[in-house]
Amino acid sequence: MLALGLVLATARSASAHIGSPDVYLDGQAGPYRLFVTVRPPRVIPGVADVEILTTDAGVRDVRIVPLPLVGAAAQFAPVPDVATRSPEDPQLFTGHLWMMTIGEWQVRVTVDGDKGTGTLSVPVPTLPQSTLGMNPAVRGVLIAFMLLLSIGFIVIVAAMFREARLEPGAAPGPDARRRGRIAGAAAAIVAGVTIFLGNYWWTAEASTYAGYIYKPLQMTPSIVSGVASGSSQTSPILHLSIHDPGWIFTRRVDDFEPDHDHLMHLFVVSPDLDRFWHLHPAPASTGAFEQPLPDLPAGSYELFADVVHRTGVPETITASLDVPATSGTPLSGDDSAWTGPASNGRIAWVRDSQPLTTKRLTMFTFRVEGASGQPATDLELYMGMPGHAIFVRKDRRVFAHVHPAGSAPMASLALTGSAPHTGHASDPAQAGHETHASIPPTVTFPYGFPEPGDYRIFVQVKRAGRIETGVFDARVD
Amino acid sequence: MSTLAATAPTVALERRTTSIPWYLWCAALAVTSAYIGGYWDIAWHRSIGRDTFWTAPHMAIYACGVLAGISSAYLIFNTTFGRAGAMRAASVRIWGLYGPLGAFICAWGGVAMLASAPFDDWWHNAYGLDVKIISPPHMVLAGGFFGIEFGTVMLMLAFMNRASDRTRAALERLFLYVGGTCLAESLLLKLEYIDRSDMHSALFFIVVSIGTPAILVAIGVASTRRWACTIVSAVYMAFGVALLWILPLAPAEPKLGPVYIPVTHLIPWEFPLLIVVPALVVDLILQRTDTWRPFLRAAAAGLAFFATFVAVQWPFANFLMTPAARNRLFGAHYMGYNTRPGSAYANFQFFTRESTTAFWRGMVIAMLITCLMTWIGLHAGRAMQRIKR
Repeated sequence: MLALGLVLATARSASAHIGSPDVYLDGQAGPYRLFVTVRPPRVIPGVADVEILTTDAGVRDVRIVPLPLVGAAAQFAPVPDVATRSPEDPQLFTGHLWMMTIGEWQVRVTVDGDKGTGTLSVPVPTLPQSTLGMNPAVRGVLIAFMLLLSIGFIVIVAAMFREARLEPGAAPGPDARRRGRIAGAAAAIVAGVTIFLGNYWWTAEASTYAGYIYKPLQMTPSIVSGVASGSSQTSPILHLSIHDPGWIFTRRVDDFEPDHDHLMHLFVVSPDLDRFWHLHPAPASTGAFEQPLPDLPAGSYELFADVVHRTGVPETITASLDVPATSGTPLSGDDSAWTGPASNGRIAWVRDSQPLTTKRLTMFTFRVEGASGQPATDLELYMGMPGHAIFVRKDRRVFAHVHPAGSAPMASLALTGSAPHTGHASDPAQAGHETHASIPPTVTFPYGFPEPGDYRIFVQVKRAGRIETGVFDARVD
Repeated sequence: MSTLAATAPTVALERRTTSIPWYLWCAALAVTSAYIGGYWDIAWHRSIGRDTFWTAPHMAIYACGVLAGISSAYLIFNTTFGRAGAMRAASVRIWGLYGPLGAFICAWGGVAMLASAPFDDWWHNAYGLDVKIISPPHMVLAGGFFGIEFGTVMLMLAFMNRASDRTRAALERLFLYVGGTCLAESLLLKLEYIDRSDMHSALFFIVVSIGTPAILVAIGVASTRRWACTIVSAVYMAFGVALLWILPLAPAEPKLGPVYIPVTHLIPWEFPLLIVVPALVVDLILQRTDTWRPFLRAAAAGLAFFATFVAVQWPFANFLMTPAARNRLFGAHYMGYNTRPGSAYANFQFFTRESTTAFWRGMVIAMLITCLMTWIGLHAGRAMQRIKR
């Protein structure tokens, strides 16, 4: 293969989704439909906040418990916590759970009510994001304590050597006072050395923790010339080389699991978000993927690659790519593109007049219409689901790939054995097995914006064998 | 050194010291509460996991600060502002306040415990819940414990060294008891390095040698009782086996994951170390070497302590790995809920993380540290005999 032209590629830091750590799930706990929000802690071990909204008024009791998603500890759950019913909304329950180790956990929700008992598990990645700075008040208090303890130590040691051995009633003489001063000086040295060593230790501990802070996989894209599958002519191929920048030793680059039919979902967007491709590179070798490039106008592009490890940990790997104008291979299979309003499908956002806010579970509902505005009747499953939604903030610092079941990857969800709600099936037994005849014209995505800003939402559905993309802008306060 | 004309206060002091004052009982109760609370807290974390500020073990730990604070505050304020002239004559002066030296040290320990609370809280928020004992905020807390332990020892010494023979005997018993809790507390702090899977490593003997002989010998020499070291280590042993046998009676279930081993009751720590045997040997040597130079005495007692400890603990560790130790008496079968099933500990195996060379080098280091600690203990004990205030 021959490297083509000038390709400038850089990688930048990312996480599971990008800047959107909260997990939203629409699922079935037996007979009960639940909307679960889990906000993972930023430091691990730390406390996750859990909110469960049920559509059923007959729910009496909701219990939640954290346990690893896979491995030996997945079979023994600790004692569950009883979620607290909200006084404002009797169908909303909240709780807090300790997530103790790095990796992929699950929050198991058990519901008891008039219709019996049901269980739903929500996969939650626990990836340490940062350490906490010390605010001035705490720093002031701790420095005051340090000074008090240090000075107290010095004067106590001085008093010990000056007076402690004197008979009752005896006053310290010059020798005793001199002994006290020497001991006090020695104590001051001991205190200073202790503070120095303590600071050294603290720095070392902080450095060790910094090593645990999540460092996403890195990806180096390049464009090479090759023969695409099913073609006899050479064409430009996007080669993606994935490497580990060093994080926890259990992470690998050869353990990706198919997530709704593909090992990788690659989203290519222009900086203005006015061009969008949803591609599915195939594995080429260990840690490497390849994708025949479609026609691409010259420019800079941002790449977001979703993968899921065998452990259930999802990662979104990012990179930038500068390309000259490229004449590529026509899209095929599940690959799709949106290159401006002219290629927009007939999809309408069904929303109320409420302003959009951050960190609140919102049901994003879209209606697919026919040419004359009537509800579409020709929807098909697109990679096993009625639709896919991609939420991108205009500065591209927030990115989330969401399905009707929520923001948890389907591959992680499959490891829990739970039944996700697919956005339209009323019977949980039907979930994931619908035919196009049963797909209604509306598709709903549960999600919450993590931060304020201007967002673009790409909604993709499949109609009569053709993939349509609707694009919507959202202002979040 | 000049002497004040203070005959009357001295007589009054002598009269006051014919029984053990309440604040000494209070201080002894404080260190007991700290040790039981600390041990209970470790059992809590091995079986339940999750805690809050208000758990019973935490209350026992903080009761130490409260009880020590009550006794030291009473002593300092009563000596400074009260009419107890005899007490003031037997006090030290710090920042314009008067009181027994031990009371000031206890107060310092209480402040250190107080300081550890916001530090620990910030640490958890910054780096996550620390699931280990040895962390900077925990060491500040431990500094507070040891401040209170040491302060209590100094408080006892001051009263003991001024007391009449009859009262001294009672005070000595309490003093040795407090010494036992000091020894127990010091070993509690080292649990991460001294479990049964560690017991065939040089690191284990190094960790045990740091502090242990110094505490034993210092308390032993300061008390002047013939079997002081044995009594002090017996107190540690008694606490260890009592908690090992009692705590599993309380039901408990994990409230944190990951859970690798189901747990239905409190999981105590292991059978205590057999310190009592080398302590007995050290007592015998100290009784027969009173006229020796401290260096030789420390070398003899230190070598004897080390050799005896290796001789008894090594085969006892072998025993703890056998099915015969997996019962309520020896407790080798107790494992925390988060013990990994594939670990050496869960499979009753010894850790093998030292080469043969590193092991023998480590054992020589442990032996030298033991001798050094014994020497420090001898000198500290002699100095402690002279504490009067």
